[in-house]
Amino acid sequence: MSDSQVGLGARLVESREQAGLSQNDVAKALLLDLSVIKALESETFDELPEPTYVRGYIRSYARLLSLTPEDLLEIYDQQDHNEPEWEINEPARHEVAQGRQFRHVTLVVALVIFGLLVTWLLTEGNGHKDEAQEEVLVASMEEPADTSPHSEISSSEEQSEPLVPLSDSESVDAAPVNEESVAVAEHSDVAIEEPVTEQELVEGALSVADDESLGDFSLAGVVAEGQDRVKLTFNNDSWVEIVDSNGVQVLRGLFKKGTVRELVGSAPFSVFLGNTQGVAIQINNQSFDPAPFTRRDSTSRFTLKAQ
Amino acid sequence: MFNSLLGFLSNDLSIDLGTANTLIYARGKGIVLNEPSVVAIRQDRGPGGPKSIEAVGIKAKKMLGRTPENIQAIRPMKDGVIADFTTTEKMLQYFIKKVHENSLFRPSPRVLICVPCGATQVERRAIRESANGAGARKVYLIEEPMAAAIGAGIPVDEALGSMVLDIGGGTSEVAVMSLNGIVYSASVRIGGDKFDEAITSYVRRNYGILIGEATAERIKHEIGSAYPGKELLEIEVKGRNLSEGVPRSFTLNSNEILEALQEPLYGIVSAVKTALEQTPPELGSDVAERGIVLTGGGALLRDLDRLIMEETGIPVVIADDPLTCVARGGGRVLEMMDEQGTDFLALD
Repeated sequence: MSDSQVGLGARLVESREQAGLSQNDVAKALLLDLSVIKALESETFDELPEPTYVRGYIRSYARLLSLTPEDLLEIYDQQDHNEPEWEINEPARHEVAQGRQFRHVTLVVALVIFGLLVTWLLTEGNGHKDEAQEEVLVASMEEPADTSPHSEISSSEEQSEPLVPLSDSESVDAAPVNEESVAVAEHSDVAIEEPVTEQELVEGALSVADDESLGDFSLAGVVAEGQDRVKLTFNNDSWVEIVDSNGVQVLRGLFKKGTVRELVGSAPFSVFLGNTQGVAIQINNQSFDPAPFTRRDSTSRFTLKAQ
Repeated sequence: MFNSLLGFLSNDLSIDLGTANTLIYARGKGIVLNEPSVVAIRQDRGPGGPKSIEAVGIKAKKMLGRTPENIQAIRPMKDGVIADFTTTEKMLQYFIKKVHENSLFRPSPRVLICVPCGATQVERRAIRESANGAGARKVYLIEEPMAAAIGAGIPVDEALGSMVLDIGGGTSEVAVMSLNGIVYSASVRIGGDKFDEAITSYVRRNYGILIGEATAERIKHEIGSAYPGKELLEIEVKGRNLSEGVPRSFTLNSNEILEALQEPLYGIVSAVKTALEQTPPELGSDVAERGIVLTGGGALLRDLDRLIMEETGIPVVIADDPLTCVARGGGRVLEMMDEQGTDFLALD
């Protein structure tokens, strides 16, 4: 380093003397103070202004002596000299780094939120699918119960009806058989009708009070165990979702004005009403007022306990 | 709140919106863009048809003077201020987007823009609005010589007079600064463009040959000088001979260009002289002792420092990398702003 320090001043002095100039001549030519020229040649940069100026002085000095200023400036740059006052890059850089960290954190948080959103959407979609499948299942369970007995009855009647004239006209022997078959048919009728009534009983116990709800997404087929009876009277159209304490969804769907629903389950029920004002609730024949739970958009979520 | 969130995703930018070149300094990155302030606009289907941006920057500059009827290459800045508001906005938008290439969202950086100290309130407002329109979240304006001084590494915060001469494409600004403030400033509408014009008209007058803007600029870069030098440089160029009407090639030398540049050069010199006259004596003596600092692209004109030195009798120093001084200074101001608030400089 001392080598290069000697380099700059010495090179200036050497070139100046070769050109036959005195320090005064140089000072006059460059319009600088003699002290500045002396300081440059003795490399006492503390006496000189900021590096911006010093570099300029070196450049014009080099040009005067026909030296290449870049070489001299390189030597000057290698030395320690007072940094300009405005260099406050350190804290600023630190802050920039911090900013970058923040940026990364923000990005990560955004990604996590996005991921959660996507998972939620997917699970929500699956939930709907499951419910839809459940409904289909319920429907398929109900259908054979409803239709097969009727069809069997009709088929047995069809079978028995042509048999009767046969028994009348052709043979007496056949009559007991026919009678038997009719009896069997009658018996089967009874036997088959029994589950129907059972089914109807179950349905009645669960909900069905009128036929209007057939188009609704009611989960009437879901068997909920429990003793608590809830009665919903719809004075207005409303969405309802009721889950009992076992986690069984006992009622879900949009119900029209005028519908009355009764259901059985085990309290407490968690209830979600879409239009709270339009629904009157009774639990175990005692009315329940959902008004305190009503939100601004007239929806409400609350737990219905046995009274 | 949303803005501050977006702020994390954008860099703070310092923009030197110059007549000739636009430079952008991004915080923590340095100079990220240096392109000519030129926009090429395509307008199909006649004069009332829809306009679209054909090219911006270097690509558009190549089109200057070489466009067909439906494309127009425009320099939206003139004399340091906005001449074409919408085009400037589009250009800024393009540049800001370009320096945020890897960004997912629409960039909305804080932007510090340099304005000539001679700009009127209306012109300042136009610059501010166009930056806002280009997507800036917050716009700060700083006077060009102040940014140039800071970028050149001059200690403007000390109780010490410093003079800066910033020669840009459209304007030249001279200012005396002390204690973070401007004591005197003046702006003359002479810059690189005027040099080019002077060369064009000199060639037409003396040779009867018409040359384009780009050729004039090339002549200036290669053999232009402000002071008679030891060696004589020559350049061969081609232009349209006015009397014959056909392109002809001819040779120009540096002395001829020196002669051509006399008028604009003396405009600048007289601005410096006026500034020295108007400077308070204490600050004037500081300037005389330390020298005038030259920044801006005009400082690259050969021997300009020598001319000013001879004319004023005061040492003249050329800043390192004079082209980027203003943008770098603006960048440093942005960094300081976060530490010291916006009060330390007279930012509009």
